[in-house]
Order: sequence, then C-alpha cells, then structure tokens
Amino acid sequence: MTIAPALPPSLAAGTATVPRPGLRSPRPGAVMAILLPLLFLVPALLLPLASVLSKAVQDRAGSYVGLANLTEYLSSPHLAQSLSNSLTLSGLSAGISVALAFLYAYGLTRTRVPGRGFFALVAQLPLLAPSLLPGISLVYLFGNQGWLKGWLGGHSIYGSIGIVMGEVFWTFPHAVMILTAALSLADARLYEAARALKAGPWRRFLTVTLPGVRAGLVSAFVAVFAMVITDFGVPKVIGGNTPLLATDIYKQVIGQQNFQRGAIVALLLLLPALIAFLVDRAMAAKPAAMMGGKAVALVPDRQPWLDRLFFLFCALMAVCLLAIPSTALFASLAKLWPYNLTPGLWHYRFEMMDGGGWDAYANSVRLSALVALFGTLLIFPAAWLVAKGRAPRLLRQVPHALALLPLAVPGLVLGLGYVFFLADPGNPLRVLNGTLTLLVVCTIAHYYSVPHLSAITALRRLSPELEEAGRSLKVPALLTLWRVTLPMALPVVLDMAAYLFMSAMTTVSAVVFLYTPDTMLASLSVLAMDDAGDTAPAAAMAMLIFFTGAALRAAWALMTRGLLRRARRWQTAPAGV
Amino acid sequence: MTASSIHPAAHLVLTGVGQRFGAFTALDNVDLTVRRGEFVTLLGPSGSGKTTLLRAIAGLSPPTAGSIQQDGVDVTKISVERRDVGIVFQSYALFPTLSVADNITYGLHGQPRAQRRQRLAEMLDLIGLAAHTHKYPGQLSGGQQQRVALARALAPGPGLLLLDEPLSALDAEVRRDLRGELRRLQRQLGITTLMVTHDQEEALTLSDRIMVLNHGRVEQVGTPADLYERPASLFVAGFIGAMNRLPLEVTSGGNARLGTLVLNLPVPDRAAPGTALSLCIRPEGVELTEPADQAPALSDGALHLPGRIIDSEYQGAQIAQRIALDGLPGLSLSVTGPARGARAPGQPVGVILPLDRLHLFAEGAAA
Repeated sequence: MTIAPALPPSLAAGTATVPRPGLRSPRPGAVMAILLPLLFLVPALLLPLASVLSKAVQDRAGSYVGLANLTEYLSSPHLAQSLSNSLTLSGLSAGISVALAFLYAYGLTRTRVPGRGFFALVAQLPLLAPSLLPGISLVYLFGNQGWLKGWLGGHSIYGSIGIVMGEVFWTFPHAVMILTAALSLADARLYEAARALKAGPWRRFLTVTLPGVRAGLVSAFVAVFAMVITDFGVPKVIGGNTPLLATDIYKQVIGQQNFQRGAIVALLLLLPALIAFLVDRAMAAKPAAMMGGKAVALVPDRQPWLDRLFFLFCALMAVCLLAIPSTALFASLAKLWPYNLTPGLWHYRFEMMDGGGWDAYANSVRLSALVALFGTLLIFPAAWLVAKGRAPRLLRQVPHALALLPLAVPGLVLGLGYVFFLADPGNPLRVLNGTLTLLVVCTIAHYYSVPHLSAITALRRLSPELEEAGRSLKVPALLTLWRVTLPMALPVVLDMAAYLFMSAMTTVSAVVFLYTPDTMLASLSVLAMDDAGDTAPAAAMAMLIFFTGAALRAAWALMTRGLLRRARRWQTAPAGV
Repeated sequence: MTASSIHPAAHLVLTGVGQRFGAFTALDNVDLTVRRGEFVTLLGPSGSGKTTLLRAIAGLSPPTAGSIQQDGVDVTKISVERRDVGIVFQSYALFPTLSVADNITYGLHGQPRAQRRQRLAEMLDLIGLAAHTHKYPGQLSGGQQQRVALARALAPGPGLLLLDEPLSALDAEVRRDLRGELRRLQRQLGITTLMVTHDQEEALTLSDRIMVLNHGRVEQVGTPADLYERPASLFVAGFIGAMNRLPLEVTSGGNARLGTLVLNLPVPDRAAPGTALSLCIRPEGVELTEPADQAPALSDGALHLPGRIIDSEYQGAQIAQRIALDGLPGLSLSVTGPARGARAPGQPVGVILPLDRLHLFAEGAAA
C-alpha cells in the first residue's frame, strides 16, 4: 500500500498544467435562471386562475359587480343541495376507499399472503382508465339491464350508490399507494420490543402499527376526498340527477354558457381541495419519527389464519378490481349487450359515432407523448433549479410554491381559467385557442405537482457536496447536472415521464372546456359517446385507453430496465476486489 | 500593497475573517498566514468553526467579515469556481455515476484528450490505483475512494489543497496507513495544504502547524510541539494530549492557594484575590518517589506533595496510575511512567511536580 514515489514533473506545486479559468462567473446567470420556470408557471397556471377570480366578480356584460354573483348563488336552494351531496358522498367514498385500501395494503406489506406481487399490480388497474370507465361498467353490471341488478335490493345504481362505488374503484390505487408506503416503513425493533414487553398482537397493532401509519391514513383520506369532490367523470356517467358541485360547473358552463356562475362554483370547489392540500402539507411537514437511521426492516412472520383471511380479502378485492374493466371489455366486444353476445369489433369502428373516433385516439396518443416529453424537459430542470440552484433560498421558494399549486386546483377550475384567460381579446396567447399545443400546456400545468415533488425529493437526497465538488473542479454546473445528477436521478425522471403520459391519456376535467373537433381526445370522446347514449362504443374507447396504458406500462418497464442497466452500471456492476 | 510583498513566502493570508449566521457567530476575527508548501491543520471540536473556515477559504461560503488573500490577490468574495483550490470533501463526494478515470479527469474538462490521458496516468501512478481505472466508486473500498478523491482534487494542479476531515470515514488501521501516505504525498508535491480535523493525533502527526479553534475563536497557532509543550490556554492544554488540572485560588497576598497549601507561584498580574486559576501538568511530567513524612513543600524547583496510589493500569510499555493527594480531597493526578517499580494500590507515595513542567492558566474550571 505505498504510493509510487516517482514524482511527475508536472506535479510540482505551482506549475499547474491547467489554464486558469477566466472570468467565467456563474453568479448573475445562475441566479436569474430561477426565473425561467416562471415563464411557464405564470401564464399557464397563475394567470388563468386569476381570471377565474376576476370572472366571479363580473356580470354577464363583464362589468364589476362585486360579490353579487356569490350572494345570489349562495342563496339558491340548489347550492345547498349540491354542497351537502358533494361533501357527504366525498366523505363516504373516501372513508370506504381508505378502509378497504388499508386492509389491502396491510395484506401486501404485513402478511405472507401468496401472490402479493400480483395483488399489487391489480391494485394499479384503475389508474389506466379515465374515471368514466367505472361509471360505464357499473351501468352494465347494475343498470336497468344489468346482470347484478338484483344485488341492489331495488335501489337504483344511478345516484349515490353508483357514485360511491365508482369513486371507490377509481381512487383505490391512490389510497393503496399512500398506505403501502406508510405501512412498509416499519421498524422491526419496535415490534420486538413490544413482544418482549408481553404485548399481544392486538395491542401491538394499536400501539405500534396504528401510530406509525396515522399520518398515512390522514394523507390518504384527504387525497381521496379531494379527488372525489373535484371528479366529474363518475357522477357524469352514473350520477343520474344527483346535483354535485363538480357536475354543476360543467352544466353551468357547457350547458347554459353561464360563465359567471361557473366561476363561482369553481371557487367553491377550490376551497375543499385547498383545505385538503393544507392538511396534507401540515402532515408532511411533521418528521417521521418511526424510522430512524438504524431501523431494521420488518419481515412479516407466517401467521396461518391471518394470512388466509387476508388472502381471501385481497382475492375478493382483486375480483372486484378486475370486474370493472372486464365488464367494459366484454360489453364493448358483444354485438348487443346483454341480448346478443356474439363477439366482434363493431364498437371499435366508431364510424357512425360522434366523438371523433380513431382520430381522437390518435390525438390522445400525440398529446400524451408531447406532455411526457415537454413536461419532463420542463419540470426536471425547474426542480433542479429549485433544489440545487444558486439563487437565494427565498427566491427559489417562488417557483416551488407555484409548482405545488396544481395539487390544490381541481382540473375543472384550471380548465375554466384557461377559457376565461384566453377569451380576453387583448391576450396575445389567444392564438393558442383550439390548438393541441393549448391542451399540452394545460395538461402539463394540471399535472405539474407530482413529478415536481418526486424530482425535488430525489434531488434533495443527493449530497450537496457533489455539486460543490463539481464547482471546485471549475466545471460548469450544467455539465455536472448532465453527467452526475441526471444519471443518478434517471429512474425518477423516467417515472415522471410515465406518470405524465398516463395522466394525459386519461385526463378529462381540465381539457373538457378546451377541445375543438380537431383536437378531440379519446377520454373526451368516451364522455361524448356516453352522453349520446352510445354506451358500447364509449366502453370500447375507454378500453382502448386502458390497453394503451397497460401496453405503455409494460413497454416502459422493459425500456427502463435496459436504459437503467446501461446508465447505472455504477450501481449494478459486481463489487470489485 | 499585496500580502506577498509583506511575506515573500505567504501563500494564504487570512485577516480578521468572521462568519455570522443570523445572530450566531460561527467564526470571529481569525488571522492566519500560511507559507507556500506548508501543511496547516485546523483543529477543534465539532462546532468550533473549523469547517466554516475551510468553506470560506474554499470559496464555498464567503465570510461576512475580514479578507482572504491567496497569492497576494484578494479572493474573499470570489466563489470556488474561480479559486485556485482543490478540495477533498468529508464524504469524498465522488461522482457515483462516473468511473474512477472519469472522476479524476472531471476537472480537466475542456483540455485536449491526449493531455487528459497523460494527466490521468500521472495521477493513477501517484495514488497507485492504475488497476481500478474502470471501476465505479461504489466498487472501491473506503481507502481507495479516499485516494481517488485526492487524485481528483489534485488533477487540475491547484496551488492550494483543502482537506475536510479526509480520514474520518475510515477504519482505524486504514486511517493510520493513509495518514502516512498523505503526509508523504504532500511533501513530495510541495503543495500548500489546509486540513480540517477534530482528531488531535491526526493533527499532531501530519501538520507543520496547527490552528486550534474553539467556539469560532483561535485559541493558539503553532507547531505540534508548541501546542503540546506550551499550550496557550486551558482549552488547548485539555484538548491536545492528556493533562492533569489542579484548581488554584489567588490569595490576598498575591500567592496561589492549592487546598490548604499556599504556594509562591508567579500569579498573573492584576489577578484579584479569590480568582480561580488552573495548574496543569502532563501525566508524564509527574515524578514519584519514596513517601516522606513531610508537609507539602516547594523546594529544589519542584512542588513536593504526599499522596497515595488509588489504582493502576498496566499498559505494556508503561503504567498509568491515579494518585490521591493528601489533604486535597476530591483531587487526583494521573501519572504515567515506566512499569518497573510500580507500587500497589493503597501504598503511600511522594509526588514531585517539577516547576518547569507546570502550566499556569488564568482560567477556572472552564474546560
């Protein structure tokens, strides 16, 4: 272990072979760069939202009327009905969804249920389709001609029952994801300590397990609640005449062209989502006391009875989760469900239908690809500037706060904001009206927060010393980003792109106000065909989206594996001597 | 007038450097002159400001007061990209996505390929890792990673090398090996080096000079021998090596009182009666003799005290004993010496504290 004694002449002190870098000061540029994300976030997010606010205080002619619209709407009996329906149904759906998801996630993480990988995969299925799909399938199953109509005991699927069932299905994967994450962070030492102190299984559950996942439970409930109250896909298809805030906006704007009233409802809808967002932030700010640096991962023991019980439960849930897309699939393949079950592809031709058919599908794929590409190219560098930029901390908080805003903004509200913002004759961005570009911009803004947060989390996990080392070696920050930071964060970057693609494929709420016949999307075409009573083609289109998502997932898994293997030799290569 | 015209050999001159974070003062008025080719260590406990000072010298976080001159140029506000420094980070900060070769040549960005290759070969030769060029940092041992980090910092040929606790992440044995190599390498290259450490042994063995920091202030700057033999403060005395401390109090007559014993010691000027002082002596400075039935006395240039062995610890080359002093309850002295002729616990013993081995500090029980 000795160092070669021969001293190369160029190593003598002071005789550096490197030309000293000149006055390449990074400072002003590096500081100003933090403003770049604002070039997107301000016009694509902040200004449209501001125009919702301003529209809410105008009359139809556009003159300022203060709170007149609000008081008028608040005094209408219709609002009270919508508001109470929205709150109760969202609360009910969130309660059921989180309870089922907790048991399911518990089975996946804390028991030795066989086939956990399969169950985890099945739980992701609802993510592949727009929220219209569960509505359509439930109509097929429990509707007037449904096979299982009798199960409802004479109640109609159209209304509260259908809404809750559909929403539970649609929000289930989100709740499972949050709770699986919470439950998998378990410190085996705490359970051993509890055992040593003679705590029984039930007491261990109450004193160790539950306190550990309390934050996860609150997060899941709040997230699902906000999703349900702002969703209009499920109630649109299966809600019957149940008035809800989300469908009210749609009716006011699309049905009655009453933009002012729409803006008022949009503001009301912003409230619960905003509260949910703040509660979640407050929970996230609390440090997770459960997992210290020395925690030992919990490996669940074999518990024959409990394992069997959880297997039954998970299997039952999996059947339900599979039943929804399967029903839509069979219905879309049958000539005339449920009377003529001859299989065929009639409903996939879309020729005689409204809704754009295959053109809409092609638009959707284009939109999703563009959103994934440009969204990732925009969001990751912006997150890098926030997490690793050289600008003062306070300045970096500005784009960060804006990036989190979409979490608290329902898609319907954002879409409406675009309508108002671009209706202004003085706005130079009006040229975007009716273009696919507009849908791309709106969709990126709509789904900005989640990829931004994953990028920030991934970047913050990297030691700041890496950047400092790059700087001390006089290498431009962008080169260190390209050669070091980006490869290390690559799995997250790929996930960001996949998330954006899937979201764009299934989005309905924001773009529903913005499309034209030329920019019709597959998800919107499901809505249009279902509206027109063409349920089978609607189911067919929903299944197309579903299979596109599934294919993308599979292709993505293969592609990323190859890509990661090449880019991450540093991680996978066998350890040297 | 530049610094180099004042000190021809001065490579780095710190003048009144201070760093405040809000109301907290991390560094207060630090002065230091580092000669070309010198190895200077910034030593202190955690929170003493040593890393803050290194980051200021590196240009990673500019100081809020004072100035830093390097090669006679004021670089206080110049950030790291334009400083002539190479840095070895505490956790090495090797780029995990790049191979050993790419890590080392990272700072040679923009140079012709042939030149980079040649430089890489030189560096690999220097650190003796030529066989590991294509490996990734994750595949190297801690000691190998440390050498790569060193090579990466040296490759662009910086005039000043900064080491932030370079050995703290390593096992004791590897650490000893690398300590020797680091010193040899630094001598070979003649590169001015500043190292931060909290390990006094590391500081003593590696440095030409050591700056001891405590609570953001400089306690003492000197050679390792200076610090060990002539500590300037009670903190330095206690921080470097083992030290016995006996509390003294200034009497009304201007003498010092140790328990019931009044000593005619050179008490610092203007020390008011009742002031607490500390009398310190290294364990190896204490001599033991036959017990004598005499009262404590000051004679023959030494302080004679009667005592009794409390316990002893056999350490191979030497023996460490604890001595209780008669008439001074609660006080004990640690003494190290040859193992031969050691007395058993409980035995009386005569304790001799030679005056030339004693250090007197005008501070109470602070450290």
